[in-house]
Amino acid sequence: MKPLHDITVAGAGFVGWLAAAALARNHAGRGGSVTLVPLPGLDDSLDPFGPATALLPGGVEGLAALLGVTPADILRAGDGGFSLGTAFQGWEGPGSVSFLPFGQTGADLKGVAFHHLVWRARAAGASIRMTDYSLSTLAAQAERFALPSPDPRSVLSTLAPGGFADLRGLTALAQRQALAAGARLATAPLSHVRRDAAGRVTALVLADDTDIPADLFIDATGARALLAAPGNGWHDWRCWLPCDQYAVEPATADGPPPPYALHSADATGWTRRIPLRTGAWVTRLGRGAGRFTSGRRDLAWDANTVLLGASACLLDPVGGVALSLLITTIRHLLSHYPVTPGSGPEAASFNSQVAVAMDRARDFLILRFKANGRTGEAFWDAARAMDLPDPLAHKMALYESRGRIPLYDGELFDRPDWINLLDGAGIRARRCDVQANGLNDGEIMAHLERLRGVLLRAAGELPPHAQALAQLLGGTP
Amino acid sequence: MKNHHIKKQSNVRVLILGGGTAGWMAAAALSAKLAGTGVSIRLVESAEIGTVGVGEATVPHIRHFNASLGFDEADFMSRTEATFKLGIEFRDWGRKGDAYIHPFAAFGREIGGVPFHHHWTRARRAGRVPADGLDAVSLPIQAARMGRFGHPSPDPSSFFSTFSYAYQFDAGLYAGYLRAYAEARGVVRTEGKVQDVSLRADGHVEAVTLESGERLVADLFVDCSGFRGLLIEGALKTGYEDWTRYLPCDRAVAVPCANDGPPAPYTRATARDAGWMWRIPLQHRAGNGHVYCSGFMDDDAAEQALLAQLDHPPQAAPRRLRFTTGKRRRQWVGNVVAIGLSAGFLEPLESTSIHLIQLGIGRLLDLFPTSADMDPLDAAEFNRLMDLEYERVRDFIILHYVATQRDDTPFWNHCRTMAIPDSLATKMELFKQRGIVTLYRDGMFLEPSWIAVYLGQNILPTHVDPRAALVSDAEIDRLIAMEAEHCRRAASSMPAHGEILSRYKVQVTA
Ligand SMILES: Cc1cc2nc3c(=O)[nH]c(=O)nc-3n(C[C@H](O)[C@H](O)[C@H](O)COP(=O)(O)OP(=O)(O)OC[C@H]3O[C@@H](n4cnc5c(N)ncnc54)[C@H](O)[C@@H]3O)c2cc1C
Repeated sequence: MKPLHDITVAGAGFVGWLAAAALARNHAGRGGSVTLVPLPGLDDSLDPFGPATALLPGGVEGLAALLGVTPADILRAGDGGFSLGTAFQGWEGPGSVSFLPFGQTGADLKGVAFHHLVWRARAAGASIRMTDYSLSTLAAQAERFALPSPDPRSVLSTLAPGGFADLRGLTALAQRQALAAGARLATAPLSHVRRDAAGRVTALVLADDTDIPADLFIDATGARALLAAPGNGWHDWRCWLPCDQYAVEPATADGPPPPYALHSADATGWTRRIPLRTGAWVTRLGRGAGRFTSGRRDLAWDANTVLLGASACLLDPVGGVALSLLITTIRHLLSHYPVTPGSGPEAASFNSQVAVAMDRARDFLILRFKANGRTGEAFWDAARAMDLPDPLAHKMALYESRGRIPLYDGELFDRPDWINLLDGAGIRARRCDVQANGLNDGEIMAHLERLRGVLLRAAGELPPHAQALAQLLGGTP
Repeated sequence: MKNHHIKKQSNVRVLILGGGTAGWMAAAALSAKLAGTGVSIRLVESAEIGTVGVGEATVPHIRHFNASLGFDEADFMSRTEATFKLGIEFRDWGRKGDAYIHPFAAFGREIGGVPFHHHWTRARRAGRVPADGLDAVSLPIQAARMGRFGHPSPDPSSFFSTFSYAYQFDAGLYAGYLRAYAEARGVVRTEGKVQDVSLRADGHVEAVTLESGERLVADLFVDCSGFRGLLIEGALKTGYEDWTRYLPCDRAVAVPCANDGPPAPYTRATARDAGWMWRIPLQHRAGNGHVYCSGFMDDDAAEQALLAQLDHPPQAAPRRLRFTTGKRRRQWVGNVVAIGLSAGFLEPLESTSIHLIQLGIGRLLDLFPTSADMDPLDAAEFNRLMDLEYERVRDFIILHYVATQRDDTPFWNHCRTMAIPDSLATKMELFKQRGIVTLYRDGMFLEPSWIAVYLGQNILPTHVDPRAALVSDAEIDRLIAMEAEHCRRAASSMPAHGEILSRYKVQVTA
């Protein structure tokens, strides 16, 4: 059996080098080739929102595994720290603050889900913020951090950190790993794409007129998607994700990096601040200029071409999902790697898994806009009034009806993420779980008090984030 | 905080119609989980009508059900004459003479980031492992073949944590066990035959009337009335999705006999000329049955074939059953939730019915009506989840029939060449060509189960993950041999199945 050996990657930015490293490490060991063809211009292969990016839980480890390095290498190369979640400022109305943590929130009692306990306690007069029962939230507030414990009995097992990274550092790391695994960079940049009569890519033509053919082409050219066949259309999601304009600028660090991103809403959009160890990046998102179109490509794998990064899917950065989706996609590509020319059943399976992951990630971001509390501002009023896509509409309806979140195949986010987002936005269910009626208020309050005590104590014992990072990465905080 | 605790009462009145496995499982679980909520539960059953009562083999999820009710394993097993089950042995399915076990465990471990079955396929294609070589790399299969059993370890780093197990039990005794539990928790049982069902103006069921004239009103009706679906179909005319075109068997005949020696820790399913036969060893007897297609075999011949292969003389008259494979179009309609045979039927090849009952109960609890007014969203979500589950189980069962090379009878020629659902055709194609198992969130059978049946029935992928070639043949052979040695040694260290069962007996009587 002979796998397809020759891979050509269009775009030598972050996505290109990451894909090249992962593919070369896995496939080129047996004589195959991976060739990258550079493009002139800024690297917007993952997204155009600036050099800093966020990683959801599991992302640091996932990236490390693809590149064959350690998680510490990722943070080191990416100038990054850990992330315990996202702080949202102004989304529930000017002046409001809420925190969307990673990891677990609270704990069930006698089979009754935590959020139902909180709703019962509120009905009994207690004033409670759900996320105050998440260790990630408490640690983030105090800028403390520890790695999660593998022991499920430890309260530290409720942590599930993500991270931040400067893509330029990660690109350099990926490039090193790719070259070490035998990938090659073409000597001249891309001039144009050669196709056959059916629109299939046959070669990349370089500026010096050399042809680079391949068995498999990877499109890592960002939103331009230079290799996408004309018929492989783009699903435009601007009706749900309203921003289409951005501006990026660097900021200076004020002290050690906090273990969270800050997303601040204003009258006409929102601003993301991602902390790095030696600075920060600020991206402002709004509506108007039409500089990007949230959406996804119809087929991520079309004939002999696989599209990765922004050429396949580009989403408003409010969910911080771009890099995690890319990691998932590359993993699927490795496990579905084609062994015969063209697109067989692997491509169909890859496409359906990738599409569903993107669609469900999209739903989470849509809800972030929909569940805003800013009234009297056209941008936000329109977002609140929008109709939801079907699976999300069902999810929202069931939550509003009885506090239940249905999960579908391919979900990136788990129940607590959805519930924290909705509850934090002041959206509550009309009904409470009947099983909660078997508990009396005293039991529920005692459970909540005990939990809070355990969490506060645990948070107080965590080291400062800067110290934990320094210990992990070596060197001074 | 105030001193007096206000309890929220929901006061929903539940009527469970039917006292088979489904009815009593529902009654037990609802009475435990809704204790103190104000929900009241009544169960109606008719001795005259009786139960199907043949469901005896289960899947591991039943342990969670039992544990959540607080059952003690030794007590439960001893009172239901239960045995341990490590898997199902499939005989004569791929070809006559083949035998493989579908265990509750994965085969081998990932090597170099590539799932074990890709490496195994390469070794098999090169003739470096025998066709039945997978047995050797499964601890539970080795234990099953040796007639041994041991509990899995809760320590995830232990080799003994890598498998799961289920039970084989007497369904009638299990129903009785559940009944005692439910009645102790306030479930009111009424013996009687429902003769009439009255509907409200909005089409919901209002009440059922018994032969005695007694009229029972409720807010929520759980239809566990068996194949007839007295409420969901009889009263509400919901309609049935017939899946006979994919699963042509439509009859069964069942008969108990004595065990041949100590009970085996696994179920056996042997393919026959026009269907298949089960053998389920319990402590005090073995359950036997013949599932067949009436289009290819008549009832007398089926019964004769069953009796002819019994290990011992029958202990009762053979019972004949008829069924239509498929599922109710909607399992929750208005204020009626169908659970058990009233909701649908998939033949017992993979022991899935009791599990589907358990799932239905779990989801009913998750979506339990908060008042007498039903929210249609609860039903919509219930139906979405159950539809997914039924369809995915259906596909897995069809796989056993279509992944065959048998051409020795008209029945097998039909199965081998019949049209199958697209959802299954896509999955099979992906595995055949590339060794990839389609993964999903909801669906009881995970990757190892699909692999067990594909490989067990000689569907060897044409291509595997190219990364598998990065590990040398010698290294793979060494790892496979090592894994087999681990499995053999671990299985040999387990006690004999009969010995554990008798230890449990002593524990309970003491
Ligand atoms: C051949 C065969 C083999 C099987 N093997 C297995 C197996 O190995 N593993 C497994 O998990 N499952 C198996 N099953 C499925 C399993 O038997 C059923 O899922 C299980 O018994 C549940 O049945 P039930 O409670 O829904 O219905 P039933 O057992 O039919 O019970 C129906 C109840 O409704 C009552 N009732 C009906 N009408 C009225 C009325 N008018 N008035 C009052 N009461 C009424 C009856 O009295 C009875 O109590 C098998 C099924 C068959 C047919």
